[in-house]
Amino acid sequence: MNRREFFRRSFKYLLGAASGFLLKDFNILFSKEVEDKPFDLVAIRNGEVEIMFDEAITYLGGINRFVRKDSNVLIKPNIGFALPPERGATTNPALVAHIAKRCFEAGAKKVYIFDNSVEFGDLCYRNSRIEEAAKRVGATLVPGGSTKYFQNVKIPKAKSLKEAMVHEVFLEADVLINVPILKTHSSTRATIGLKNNMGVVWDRYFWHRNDLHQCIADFSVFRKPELTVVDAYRVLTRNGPRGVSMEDVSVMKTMILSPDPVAADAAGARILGFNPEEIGYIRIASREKQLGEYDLSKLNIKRIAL
Amino acid sequence: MNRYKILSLIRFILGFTFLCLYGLIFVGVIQLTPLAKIQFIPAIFNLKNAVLLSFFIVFGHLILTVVFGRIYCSFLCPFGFLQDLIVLWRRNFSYRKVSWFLTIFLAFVFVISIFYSTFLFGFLDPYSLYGKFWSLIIKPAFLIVNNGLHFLLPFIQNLRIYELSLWLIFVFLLYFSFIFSFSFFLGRFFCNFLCPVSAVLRVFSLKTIVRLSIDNTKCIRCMKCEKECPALCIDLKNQYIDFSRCLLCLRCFNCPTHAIDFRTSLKTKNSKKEFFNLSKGFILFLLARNKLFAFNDYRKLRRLPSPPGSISLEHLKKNCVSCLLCVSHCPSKVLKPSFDEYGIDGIFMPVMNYPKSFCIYECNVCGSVCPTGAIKPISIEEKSKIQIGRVKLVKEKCIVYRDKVDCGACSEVCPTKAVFMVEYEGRLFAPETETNYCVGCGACENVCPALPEKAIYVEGHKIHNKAIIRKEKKSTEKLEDFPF
Repeated sequence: MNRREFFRRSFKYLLGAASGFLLKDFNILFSKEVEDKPFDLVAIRNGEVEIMFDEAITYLGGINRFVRKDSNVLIKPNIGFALPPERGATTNPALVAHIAKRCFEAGAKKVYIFDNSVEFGDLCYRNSRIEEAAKRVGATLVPGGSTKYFQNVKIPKAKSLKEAMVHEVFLEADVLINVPILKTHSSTRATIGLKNNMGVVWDRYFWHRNDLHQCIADFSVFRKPELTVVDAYRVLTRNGPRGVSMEDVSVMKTMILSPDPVAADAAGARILGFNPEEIGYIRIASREKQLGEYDLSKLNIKRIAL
Repeated sequence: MNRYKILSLIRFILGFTFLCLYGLIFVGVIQLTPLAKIQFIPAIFNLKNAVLLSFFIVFGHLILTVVFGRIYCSFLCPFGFLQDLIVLWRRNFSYRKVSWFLTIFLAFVFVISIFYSTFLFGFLDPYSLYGKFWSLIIKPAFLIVNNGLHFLLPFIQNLRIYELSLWLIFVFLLYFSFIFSFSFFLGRFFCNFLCPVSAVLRVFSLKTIVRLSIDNTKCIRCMKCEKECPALCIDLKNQYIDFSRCLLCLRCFNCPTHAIDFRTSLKTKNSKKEFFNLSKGFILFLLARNKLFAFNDYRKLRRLPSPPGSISLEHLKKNCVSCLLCVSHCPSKVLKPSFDEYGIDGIFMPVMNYPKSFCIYECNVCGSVCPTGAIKPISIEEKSKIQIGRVKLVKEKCIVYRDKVDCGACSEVCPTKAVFMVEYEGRLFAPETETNYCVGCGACENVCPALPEKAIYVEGHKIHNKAIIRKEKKSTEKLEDFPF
């Protein structure tokens, strides 16, 4: 490299850096515009998970709206199966890590990550690479393989699930961020946010014995998540919720954010091609429990394509 | 420190190292399971299954024995050394002749076990006995204490535990205490009177080149060596060491005048004639053997499958020495030592413990740790084509068919979707099975929430079958625009 080329290159890099600054400013301007009136639901696509989350959360008023200073946050991903993230059965570890990072930046005291897996918990944490991701950002991965962590609670206004053994971290967290992955499901058709909450109880098979849809809806009012982030980056469009092979995974690069758990599930169901009304637990949670709205036409939705 | 002390010390340290090393390998603290393959009996089984490396291992064992005597018994065999520890403070043994009849009998047990049924190895192979000692006693004890403590102490985590039949532990403990209580009178009782490896090596160390012998001129007849020898092979009255039975523990190096030392010698007693007379009798036994072990099928209950890679129940029974390395290492703890699941001649061998746990589809640990090839080392791709059992759905017990509510737990966890959901009565989804896809992992049986009995279970195959892999086109659904 001679001197002239050196200068030329340096100039190019400088220009690049400067344009980066410009872009950042542009973003701030952009988000200011929407801060006045937060949307009910934000849907975003065609980006990497970190970028999509950062972009979408601004339209909901930023992460600070949900995470107060010195609060304990529970991030509840779907880590049901001991499969690598590429198989689309578990929540994207990059997304979980990124949300944890943003929570810490917003002043969270502690960020917990927990799921009581269908398969063996320790293997699920490891294979889904969420263990590694949690370690990277300093979040606490909570084990669930023993009754000592679970407490018996009464579920108000319940029809089927009148009481349940619930993990203590779920009971004690100030902020609950539900981060399900969008998947088809063999019996409930779709598993999104409401169904993901099943992973905080000890005996999931009580639900299976006693009308699954009713139990999911019963439990949904016990603790409403402050924010639901539906990971639809890789979507199992068939053979869910475990999937048979990589062939079952569609890369959709989509994400849905909403403080309304029912709306998030309804949007997810639409992506899978279902009418939300057809899915039992969404209908019951919305119409009988008044938890939220599944009729997306009534909501103020921000749609972004990057 | 003289030469004698240094040699004994080296032997003791080596023995102790192998004792600890194998113990830690058995419980999975040290991940060095291939080391199990250098043990004598696993190497012999690998030789039988034509594994090239085992040829060198067996050859090495034999060369060592022919040149130096029973090095294997000295420190390589952890079970032998364990007995050394038990009799460490005993110093009042006496010489005892062990007839060649017993030795040849045990050598035939060795041959029969290798080619016909490993049932007797469950009780006689020192390597697998040591494995059982850890996997049936030490590890479960540790896990039970750990899981008890985890309720009191926050930093201790609950660990998965494999199921054990109490009868099995009872049988094993009885046998174990039998061996060790006799050790107090007969030194290394197991090595002297029960071990088939010891018998085979005794035959090979008949003409050992470097051997321990007594120097007549130095010996002061103090009887110290005879009283200390746990192999009971020093006959001081006749100034004779039966070196074919010497376990090279080197305790006789404590001799005050150092009359006992290694010397090269080629003189031996001849016992060829005895050997051939005995052979005739055992060939008859061999022929009768098939009648003796024909009680595999007495169990009328459902059949639990054998682990994937074991090819068939017959292959397992012919190759498994029941060291329980696979049981101890199984991540999902679906393997347990059998008691009567395979019949009496399958005692201690690994069996899939449904519905307590299930076999992880993407796991092949058992085959990769198995030192004898009883469970073949298979890749995950090969494993996905093996059907160890077949799913059976009992619709009368199923929650969807019986209670008319959605459930689908079985299909949820099925890794191949051999259990899939179909529309039922318009608004429900009910399970159906396609057994060709089933690998028999038992996940469906494990999760089935139906009470009082499971509505779905896996019936094991005696001979493993082929599973068909579900072929579907790549899912190409793209999101062109938001559908809302």
